[in-house]
Amino acid sequence: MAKWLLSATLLAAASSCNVVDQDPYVNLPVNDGFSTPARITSSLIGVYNDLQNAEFLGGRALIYSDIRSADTDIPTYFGNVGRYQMLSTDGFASSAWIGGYRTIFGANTFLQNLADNTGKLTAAQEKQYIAECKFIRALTMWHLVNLFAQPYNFTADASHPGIVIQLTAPRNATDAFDLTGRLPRSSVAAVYTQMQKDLTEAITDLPVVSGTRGISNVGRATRGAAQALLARVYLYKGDYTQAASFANTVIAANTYALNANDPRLAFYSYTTNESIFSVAMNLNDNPNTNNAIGQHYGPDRRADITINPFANIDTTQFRSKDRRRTTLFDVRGANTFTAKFYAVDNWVPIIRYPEVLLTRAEALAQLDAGVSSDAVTLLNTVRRRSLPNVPAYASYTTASFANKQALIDAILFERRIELAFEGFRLYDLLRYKRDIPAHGTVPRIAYNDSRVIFPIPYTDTQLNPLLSQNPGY
Amino acid sequence: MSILLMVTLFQTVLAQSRSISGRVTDQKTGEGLPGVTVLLKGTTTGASTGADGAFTLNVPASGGTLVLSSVGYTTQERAIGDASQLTVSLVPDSKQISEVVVTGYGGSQDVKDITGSIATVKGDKFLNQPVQSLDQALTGRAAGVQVTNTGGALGDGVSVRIRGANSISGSSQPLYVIDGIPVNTRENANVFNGGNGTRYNPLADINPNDIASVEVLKDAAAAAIYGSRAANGVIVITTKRGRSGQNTISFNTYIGLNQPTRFPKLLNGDDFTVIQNEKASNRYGTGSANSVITRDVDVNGDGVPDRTNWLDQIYRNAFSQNYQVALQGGTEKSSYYASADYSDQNGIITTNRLRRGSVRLNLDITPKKWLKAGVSSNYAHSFNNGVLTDGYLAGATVSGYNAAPNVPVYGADGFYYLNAAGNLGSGNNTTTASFIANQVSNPTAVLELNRNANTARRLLANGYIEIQPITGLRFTSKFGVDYLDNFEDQYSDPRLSGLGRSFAGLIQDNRLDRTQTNWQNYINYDKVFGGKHTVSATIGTELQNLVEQQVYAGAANIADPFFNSIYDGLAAGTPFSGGTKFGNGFRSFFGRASYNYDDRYYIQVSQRADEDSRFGANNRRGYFPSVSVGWRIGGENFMKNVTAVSNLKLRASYGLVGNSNGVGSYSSRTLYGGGQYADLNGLALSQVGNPDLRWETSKKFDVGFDAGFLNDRINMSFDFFDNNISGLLLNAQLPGQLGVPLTYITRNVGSMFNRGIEATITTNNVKTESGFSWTSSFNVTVIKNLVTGLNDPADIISGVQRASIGAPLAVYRLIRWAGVNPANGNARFLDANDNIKEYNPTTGTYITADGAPTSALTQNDAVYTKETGYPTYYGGFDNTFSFKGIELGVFLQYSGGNKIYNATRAGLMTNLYNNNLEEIKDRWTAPGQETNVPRLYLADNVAQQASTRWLEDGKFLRMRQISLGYNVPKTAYERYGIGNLRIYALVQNAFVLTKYSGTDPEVNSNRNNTNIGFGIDNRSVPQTRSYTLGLNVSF
Repeated sequence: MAKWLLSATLLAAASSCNVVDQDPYVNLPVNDGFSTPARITSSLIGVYNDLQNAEFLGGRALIYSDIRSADTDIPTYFGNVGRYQMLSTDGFASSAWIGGYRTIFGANTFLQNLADNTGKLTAAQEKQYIAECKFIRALTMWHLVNLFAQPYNFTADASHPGIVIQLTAPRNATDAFDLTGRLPRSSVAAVYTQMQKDLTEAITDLPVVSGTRGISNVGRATRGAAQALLARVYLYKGDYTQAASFANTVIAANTYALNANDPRLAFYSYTTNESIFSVAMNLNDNPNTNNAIGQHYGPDRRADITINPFANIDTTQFRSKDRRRTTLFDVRGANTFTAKFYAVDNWVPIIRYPEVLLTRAEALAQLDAGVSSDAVTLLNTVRRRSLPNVPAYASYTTASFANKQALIDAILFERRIELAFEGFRLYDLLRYKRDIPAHGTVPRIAYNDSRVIFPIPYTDTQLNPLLSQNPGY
Repeated sequence: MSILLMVTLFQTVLAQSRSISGRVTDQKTGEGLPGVTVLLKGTTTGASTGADGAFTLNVPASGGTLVLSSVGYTTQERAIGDASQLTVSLVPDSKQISEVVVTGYGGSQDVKDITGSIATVKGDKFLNQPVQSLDQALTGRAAGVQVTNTGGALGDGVSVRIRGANSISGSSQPLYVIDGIPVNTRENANVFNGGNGTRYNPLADINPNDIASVEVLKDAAAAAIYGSRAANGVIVITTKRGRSGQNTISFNTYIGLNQPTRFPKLLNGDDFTVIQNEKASNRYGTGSANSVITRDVDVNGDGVPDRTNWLDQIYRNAFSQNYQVALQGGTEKSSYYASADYSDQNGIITTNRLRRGSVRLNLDITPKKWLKAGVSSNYAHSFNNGVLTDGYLAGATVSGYNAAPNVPVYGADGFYYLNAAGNLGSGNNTTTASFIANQVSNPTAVLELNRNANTARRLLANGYIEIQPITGLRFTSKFGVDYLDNFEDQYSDPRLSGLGRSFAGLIQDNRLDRTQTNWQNYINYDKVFGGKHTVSATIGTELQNLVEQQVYAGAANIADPFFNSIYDGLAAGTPFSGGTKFGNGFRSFFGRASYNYDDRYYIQVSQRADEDSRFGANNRRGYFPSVSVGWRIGGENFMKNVTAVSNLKLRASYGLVGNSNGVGSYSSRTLYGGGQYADLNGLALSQVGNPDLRWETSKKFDVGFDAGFLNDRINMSFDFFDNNISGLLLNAQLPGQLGVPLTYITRNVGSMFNRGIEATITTNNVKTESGFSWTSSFNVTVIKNLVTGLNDPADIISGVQRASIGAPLAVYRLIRWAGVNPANGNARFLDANDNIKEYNPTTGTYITADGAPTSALTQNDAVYTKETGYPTYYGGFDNTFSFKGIELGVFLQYSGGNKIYNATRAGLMTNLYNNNLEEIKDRWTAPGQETNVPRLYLADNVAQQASTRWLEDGKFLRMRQISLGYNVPKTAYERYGIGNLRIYALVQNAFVLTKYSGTDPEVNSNRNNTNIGFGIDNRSVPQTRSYTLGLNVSF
């Protein structure tokens, strides 16, 4: 009897176990992420987490412009990127493409899920969250289109290939493998139209900045940020009227200001009135410390990027007592580093107030047949903040410039030194059809050389035959 | 009892009794047999032989007969006569001693009755082998089993492929079952650096000395009972258990010397200077400012330029030692095997060291006739001083190979020679970043100051109870646990580049806690009806549950490099911590029935139903049936007269098995989780799910025969197999533009097959009267793989290799190298249309063969080669020569049919400032020179891009092991009570014959992370050659 009883007991016990229904400990079903207003807000923060992408606006999107611009030495770390010797299989190109679209996926996913759960937030909040996603999408597209496509004015009607305009996110495997959902590249003109649309819509619903600054109004999108970004988009498009107008809206709102006499402060205190939008970071959530902007530039970190060519700019132009020289250089022996980025948790500056001032200055200078006095004033505002009051460093007057072009050149130079290593230099050269000067082992590269833009990743051209490759790759 | 006793006494009184002594030996080996029952016929007077086979017994003054019996031997009677000394040889009973093979879930079969394809490797092949884990010892031992040691770092995972790679995105590693319980399939217990930092193979926790046998289940008939886990084959490990009547103590030990087999041939300091400067002067012109980028330095001021052979710094000859004590024995109602071991292995890379101690207790008791119970338990504690190798700038084989040989290891201050960024100082060499291939760590400093350690504590235990309610029917309940606690400890020194410098000293610790429990309940029934109808059946259930939790913590900005662990108050940086947790489980029902008629006609069927929590709600359950048949022709009457054929069996099997190895716990789900943004908490999507996800299915067909000739002097086994895999678990790539996390979604699409033959031939080649014998065992596997379907027409790409429809897995697709133009030293390639494109680094442009400008070479010019990274044939050849206690083993391993992409060479032929291979000395220097190395040109590596230039033949013949053992004659030590004494010496990896130019053709830099990227050598640590001296003693 005992033997039968024992057998039966064991069998009964075994058959009562259920081990095949197991839910994740660290994840929710997607829809649960939108079940309450608090969770929807967390989900929106998650889109910013996607914006922090280690391969893209976590810092590298900015770096890829500067290390090819002759203002830095050619960094070893980035392999063939700085050498203009990338192949279509280059890992950096692939990661950048994937990283940028990963951010856009985050924004699109949020928009879709919010639409499914509409009504759980107040109408105003819902609109604001939608606007924030559109801002993020437009910002990411701006960097992608500059990295992977020739500038707007490369063809007369900007009909040359831009990037893929991806406005939906696959929700499941079926969506993702639906071949009809694989889009070709749109023209650069179409990409600009889309960015304008996203930003214009966002401006209406984004909150206006007021009071003290923190992550919620520097690290998150605001109306001023969208206006400033739209001004940049128009400037790069060559629509100077709109560029001047949107820049003026930001300036007129009087919510932003330069940190007086201190060009350095914005990089050490991330939430001064000078910062319009930055990608926030802290030590714990930095998506990959090896990719942090402060790691690459910081002399006490990885120290990958030195800026000797920039430091060697003629002091008749970039004056020796300019505070951007005296406070933003970190000289270590034979090498000079920028002091803008130095730690793993540095925020990534995306839009600072001086850019808006210079955008308006450049647009006004372009619109004026002569030498625009308003433009000179704006230029002086930025310039004087960093120049000590010594006789040798006189302010500009309209008389300082022989003609319109001389003023534009001065504004572009000011952009170069004010916005150095913030991801503008290469794109500013290209949109003015200027060659990249020879530097290090890199010979002079013509502005229309096919190598000034990244290859579309080889794998992607294989997976989506509609995706055209850039010439020369 | 008392009556018997009285009778005995009575006899003692009545009869003149006397004492005789004797010895019982094995007729085959001549060695003493312990535990033999010696009984005076017709009485209860008896004795048991001792360890050396000796016995003494009181017998009548004259006459009488002894009955000698022992398990596995034919019982013998021997008349005593007047003898006072008797030596009896027992003949092994071929029927009784025939090998029994464990078939899983309480089943076992005689080898002669097996209808599946199973390879057995006996425990002696694992005893005292200089290996860290048992999988390494399987190398070359069994047909159809390809074992690739990925490199010479201790604890490195080993890639085991049974009948080819059976998955593309999933894992192709087999299932390991130890004493009936499936174990941990985590391929690396370490998680830092995404699991690609230091490695620790969980199989290293099992002491190879404890293994009694390993069975490799290869076809569906053998493996289908393991259902959804069986597609990659099953490795069934049985540990040693006690036997009644033979109580022995054995002591095994060895010491060994390990050394690297082969080094890369790097430039010495003088050549280095010449080559680097030639790169520069070719670019900038002799005499120009940049034409000299390398100059000697004399840091220590001894008046001699500094020179360093960095290979001497990172590699060493290292000692290993291993000790084991095992107790084995039992009585009628209980038996035991207990062992303890300690092993200390030093790796060939400086500071690489693995220490392990383990204890095992296997116990079986039979308290009632109908009840049997027992435990198998093993606890192991390992401490691994790991090293970073390939894949990291600080890795030994990266920094060590790249470092300039004209700078010193130590600076003038006696500390490591470092620059301001914590990298190796550059002496008087260039610091212009655009000339430099890589920042180079000081290889010695990194090895000595940084720490990549882990401590694994592993409990592997199971208990069972077996109830036999009626004869032939056994009910078994078995509960097993596999518990792993791995503490990973990483320290990055603040003085060195990398994390240490970035965080002013960084300590990261991770504790991984993994518990896998398994509960099996099954019923076995065995019965022979009418003497000729043998029936056996098994039905049962199996439940398995796994929970893994990790908790990590870190401290930065440490007070002083002395305090290099997480200590309170000694690190001022912001501390950080985190963790994760996951789990999965499955539930199965299975059954197996076999029938044979008269040991001649066999049929076996099995069916298993598995339910797995990891799979999509739509496809959670799968069914895995199999059928096999056999015909033992040798048992037929008409074969009785064919004396040349001693055994012949035909067998065939077909079945469906699954593979889910490598599938994450929640692969089918859309996951929404942590999305922190700086100081704000957020939620974000991290995986797009596929609710249809299920197992990949293998349809395995096998037909073969086993045959013995000339009274089993020649035994052979032959199989043809065809494994068709469909519904492959593919990490189906998506274009980046969709933005899907990971850029893939796992789906069941795609198909491929592995077809081939395998043969094993075991022969007794020579056996002379004088006692000399030579036996050998040869095995060969020939395999053909073809991918027949994928997610979409596009290939799945891993580096230079692909899964491509119509091509074998891991096919190389590369631009074709067309050599160097002797006229100008420029590199030439073939474009897609077979036209020459010649690259001129001075202009950065291409010309055709007739000098006309042409477009740039692009990936569109790459073509499919016919080559893959997987060998198409492999095997082993083991020989044993013995003569009077001396045994010489010669074991060869071979493999071929594959190509290796030598990425180490591609990287070390760079035109940037970096150390190079000696091959670069063949560079083009003068018009008309025929060479394969283009003219040097600083900072232009277009000529060095991925191409067939780096593809090399991977075939090799390795002298895997030469061993020499000596069984010291018993007369020398018998009087000390020693039963057996053996000393031996062996050389592992004595040499390898290959055309491959790298350090070793047995490489797999991508480890088990990819089935596509197999056969890449990217700075793999060379294999280890070891010299071992050992001793086995038993009492």
